[in-house]
Amino acid sequence: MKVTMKYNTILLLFFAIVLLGACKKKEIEDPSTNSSPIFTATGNLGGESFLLEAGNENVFMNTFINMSNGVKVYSGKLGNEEMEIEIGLHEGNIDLEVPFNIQNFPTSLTFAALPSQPLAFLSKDLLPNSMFIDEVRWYIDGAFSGVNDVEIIEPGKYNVCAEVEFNDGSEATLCNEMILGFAVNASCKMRHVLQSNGNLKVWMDAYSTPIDHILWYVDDVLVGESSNLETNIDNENHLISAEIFYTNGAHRKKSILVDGSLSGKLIDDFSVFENGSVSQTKWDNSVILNVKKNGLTYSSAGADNSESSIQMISLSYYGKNSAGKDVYKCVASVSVNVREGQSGAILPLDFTTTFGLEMH
Amino acid sequence: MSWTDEELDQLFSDAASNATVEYNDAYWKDIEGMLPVRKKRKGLLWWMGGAGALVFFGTLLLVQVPFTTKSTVAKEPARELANGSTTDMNVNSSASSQVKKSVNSTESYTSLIDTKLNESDNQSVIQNTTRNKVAKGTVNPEQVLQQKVRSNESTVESLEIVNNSTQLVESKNLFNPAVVVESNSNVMQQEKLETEGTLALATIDINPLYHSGELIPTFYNLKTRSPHALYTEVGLGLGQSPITSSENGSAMAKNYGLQLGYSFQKSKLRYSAGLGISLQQFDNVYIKERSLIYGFGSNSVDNHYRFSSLMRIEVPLAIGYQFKRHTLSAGANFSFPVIAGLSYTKFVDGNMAVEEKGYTSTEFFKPFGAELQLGYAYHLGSNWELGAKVQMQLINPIASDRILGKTNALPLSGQVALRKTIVFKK
Repeated sequence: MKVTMKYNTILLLFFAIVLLGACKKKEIEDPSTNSSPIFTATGNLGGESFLLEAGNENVFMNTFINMSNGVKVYSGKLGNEEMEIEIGLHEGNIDLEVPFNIQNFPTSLTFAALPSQPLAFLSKDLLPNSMFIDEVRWYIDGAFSGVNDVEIIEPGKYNVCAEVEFNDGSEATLCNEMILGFAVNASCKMRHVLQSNGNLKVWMDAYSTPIDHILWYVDDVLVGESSNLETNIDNENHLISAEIFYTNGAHRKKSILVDGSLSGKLIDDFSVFENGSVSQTKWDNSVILNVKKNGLTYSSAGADNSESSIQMISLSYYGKNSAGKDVYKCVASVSVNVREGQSGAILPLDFTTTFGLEMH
Repeated sequence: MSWTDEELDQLFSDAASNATVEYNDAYWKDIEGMLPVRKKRKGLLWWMGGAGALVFFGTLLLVQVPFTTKSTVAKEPARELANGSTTDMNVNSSASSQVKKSVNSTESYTSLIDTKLNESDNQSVIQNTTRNKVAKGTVNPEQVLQQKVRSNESTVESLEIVNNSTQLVESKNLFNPAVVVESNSNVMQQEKLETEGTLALATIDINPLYHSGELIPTFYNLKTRSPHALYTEVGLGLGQSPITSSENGSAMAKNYGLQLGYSFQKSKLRYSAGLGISLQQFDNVYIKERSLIYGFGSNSVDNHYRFSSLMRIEVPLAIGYQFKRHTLSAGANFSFPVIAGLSYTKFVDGNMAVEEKGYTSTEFFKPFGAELQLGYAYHLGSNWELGAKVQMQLINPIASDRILGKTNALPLSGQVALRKTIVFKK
């Protein structure tokens, strides 16, 4: 019997080893050949040629999103210590709540140019109850911008706050979102009526796009969802806010300050400033291009690029950057004028590029 | 006329001392004609194909059948014994006289020994009742040996060994027949020996022959060994690595093997086929690849794959020539790689990023291998052999030019092997 056991053992050993051949095996990767640089820019600046290839000569493609005046700028920076090209692509349709879609980008992009006149003029005198106001201190995105009259030049989506001092010495503050220099897909004005018995009615007026629904807040407390707000308030100041959802996907929020004492110490929304802008500047999907070379800085923003454009050859997903954000690869042909910051010299810049932009 | 014991002793003593042994070729041809004719084997491929099945089913049989080394008498003729080689055998009669004999065999293992007696007495009747001639060792009562002596021709005409129940004693060095001598009218017959030692008129001590090695093949057959056997073999050795590399590891490779197989003995030739596994270990079979991977920047990526071993299924086929306690063999060994051991290290910009060990497929090795093999084995006992082999790979196993180094043409290896033979039970 021992003999039998011994040969059983041999058999088991034999077949166990054979079965090793069926176990999961590690795959050997295909030979890794040197790849070609992916992100490149080659062309000339003011007649001097240049070549930038990420991965060679310490050139690196850095991608990120800049927030410029409350608007996303899909950005990338390609270069090394000697030369660097930065491209920023402004977000478009910033009042729409729609998922990011590269299909929305046009094949021809324009360069962002500063408007020749202010986009908005914030003035105490333009407020409907200006006779009860002694002073208005303006804050833009949290920063004090001026008293009574303030101009906004650059496009953006701003959070504008008015700190109002009334004639009786009382003060109140109201903040509203303002979109300037970008396309606004929906607009409206909040109106209200307060009766002496404290009954308050609030509704939207002069809206350009049908409203889907509105969420109403009283003193930052959600009180209902309806087309109008009707409620009773006491004789104190109350903040009435409306979150407006338009049928085209636009989403805005507007606020007013209601004087419960009916003494005129109210603050209207800032629609008068936003809707009153006459500038035709629209920075949706526009490009700002900056170049650093040999210690000098050049920018497309300071030059006349009304005839310049970027021809987008392709825009496709590339991968994630070190921050784990989505990066798109933009192949484009660029012809632009750039202005040197100190001397003000204008130089032509022409190049073709495969550029990375963080976009989401 | 009556014979005294002394006279009888003298009679056989003289006859034995003057006996002549002649080989009669006609006997052997007659016997050979009665042997079953074996068909010749067709083709090496049949060997290869059948070898695996034989080993498999044979091994199953091996497991089911308890093996024994207990000897039984073979019914097949001992070819070596029957070859007619004249052999001096030490015949221990009462006078310890020498007998020259010629040995033939039949299917019933009948050995005919023509023995001429110098002295004759036609009228003598020898009744073997003498009990003082005791052979060396013990005699199994079942063992019957008849020797017919035709005394009227003063010749011991034949010595018939009826060995369908004869069994050699375990020490293998005694041949202990009982002898019956008959004359024309008087027959001396001993049908059965008593265990205490019936007279063996001629006891043959082959111990010296055994030790000289001359009779070993014969004895193996006489020992009722079947020509069919299974074997297991383990081996280990050293050889050339399939690769010569100027920078990686040793140029030598270790190898280990385990085989199960079937062997068939015919005359002095032993044919064997088996199925086995082999493991070759090397440390100079590398893939080292560096690449520059571009992206936001670039990374230098080094992939190092080190093949540490290669396991193969083997089908060894061999023919051996057996003489005395030695076997010389030659054969071919066909192999099929099954799996390869692998160490993988990945460096990114000089920093180790991945380190793994495991197995991989054999895509980088040739799917078929063949090697020639020469071997020698020394028989340690009836079932154990210790041998050495030299193998030459006819096909270098490396198949991919991604593996660094230069492939060696006809790499050589050597192996020491220990084989255990397991005979079929008759």
